[in-house]
Amino acid sequence: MFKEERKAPQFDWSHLGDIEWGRPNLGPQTAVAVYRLMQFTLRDAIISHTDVATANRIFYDAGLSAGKAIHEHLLRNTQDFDRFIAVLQETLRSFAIGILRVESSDLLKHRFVLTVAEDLDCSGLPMSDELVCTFDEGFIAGLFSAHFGKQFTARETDCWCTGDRVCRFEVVLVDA
Amino acid sequence: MEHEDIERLDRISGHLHALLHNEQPALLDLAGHKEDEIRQVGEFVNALTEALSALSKAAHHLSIGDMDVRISANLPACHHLKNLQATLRHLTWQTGQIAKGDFSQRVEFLGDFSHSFNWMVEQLEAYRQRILGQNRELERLATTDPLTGVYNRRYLMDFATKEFLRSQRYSHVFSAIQMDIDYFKKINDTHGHAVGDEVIKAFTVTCQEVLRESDVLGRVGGEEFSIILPETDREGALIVAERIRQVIADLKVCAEERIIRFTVSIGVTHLRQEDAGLEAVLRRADEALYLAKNGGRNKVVTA
Repeated sequence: MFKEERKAPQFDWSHLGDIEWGRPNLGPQTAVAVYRLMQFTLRDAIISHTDVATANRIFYDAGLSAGKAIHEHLLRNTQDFDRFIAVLQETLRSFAIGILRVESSDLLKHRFVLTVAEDLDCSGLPMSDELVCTFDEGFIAGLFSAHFGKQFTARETDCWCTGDRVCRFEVVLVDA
Repeated sequence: MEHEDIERLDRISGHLHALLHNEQPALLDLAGHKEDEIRQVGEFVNALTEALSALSKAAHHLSIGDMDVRISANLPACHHLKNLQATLRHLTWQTGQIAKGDFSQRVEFLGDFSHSFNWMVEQLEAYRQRILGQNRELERLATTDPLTGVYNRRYLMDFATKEFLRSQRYSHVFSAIQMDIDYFKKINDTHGHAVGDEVIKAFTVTCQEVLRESDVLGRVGGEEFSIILPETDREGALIVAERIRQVIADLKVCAEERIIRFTVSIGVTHLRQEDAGLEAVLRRADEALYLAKNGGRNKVVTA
């Protein structure tokens, strides 16, 4: 299940297990620092074994799977775009992933600009003049691809680490 | 301190004075200055001048609603403006959403403005709900008979027209029933209009108990009623009509301490291939009703 060789993603929501059953005392929450510890040590290891481009690609693809999985699990019945955004905002807030806001939405051209404040990945990180939310890029692309049933890509244009206080993402349809 | 150093400090002081008095001095010319602490202070002052200029420019653009201005991230004070910029952009999108009718939008990051904005949206939604309710009430008043609550002639004719066209297009069946309460004028003359009204109301309530949800009953005159029965052929309509005739004949209406009994005459017809318009169907139902009346009343006649 977890350690089989594969050429395509096999992730399924069931891989997350029965958290309530497995953690009767500690519950479903953990510290943001622990999430970041995982994220940045993993990035560190991947870069040291391969290179930055590969690390970015892996984080993006992992985010893509996560976005599609969370859509399948929690947002499948939100056909209407406004409803999709409303439920997504609530979902991201309830999981303490971030505060999602929409800056612009063009449903005809399939172009969107979103911001995430208090982002789980980066808010509070040292300034580095780098756009670091690669996992979020894939995550958002996965959510939009699953919602519209078409392939979307998401690109971070502003990040806490570049001096912004929100992360900003441009989401566009591939080959629009 | 050497005279030259005092002059350099004077220039820096003058520059800071100008900045504090809202002027926009040119950057200090530090070319040719020796590498010492005073030159370093001058460099800091120049960096501060540039940052204040960027801050002022960003604040100006935001103050006039230009939300696309590129705000430098180099100065911590600019971070607040960038935050405000993101907030205003989202607020702009939210306002557009509200204009489209999405009243679920709420603002939660702009202090007192949030309270006022959210209250405005709640009020808009309340107004919308009130107008929708009033529209529904107006629609009800425009389509129903005030005494009985069943549909009026106007609605019934609209419905019958649509049903006629639909049935013709898809080669479906539908039937029409015309009804007239027997000797209703006599009931009115003998017992008064209040009792007559009670008879009318009891008649419609009893009919509705017999009808299916898809059947439409309408009051088309004082004591005249029509029923449109979608997807119902002649035999089906005849069963319904006979059932109505029977339950009405058995009905006892208590009004003003009197028991009133009455009967109804009924004409039944169904859509035929040769019917060119709804009028043909209704005319045939009327003719059947006429025959029922002339045949002794309390009868169902088909045509």
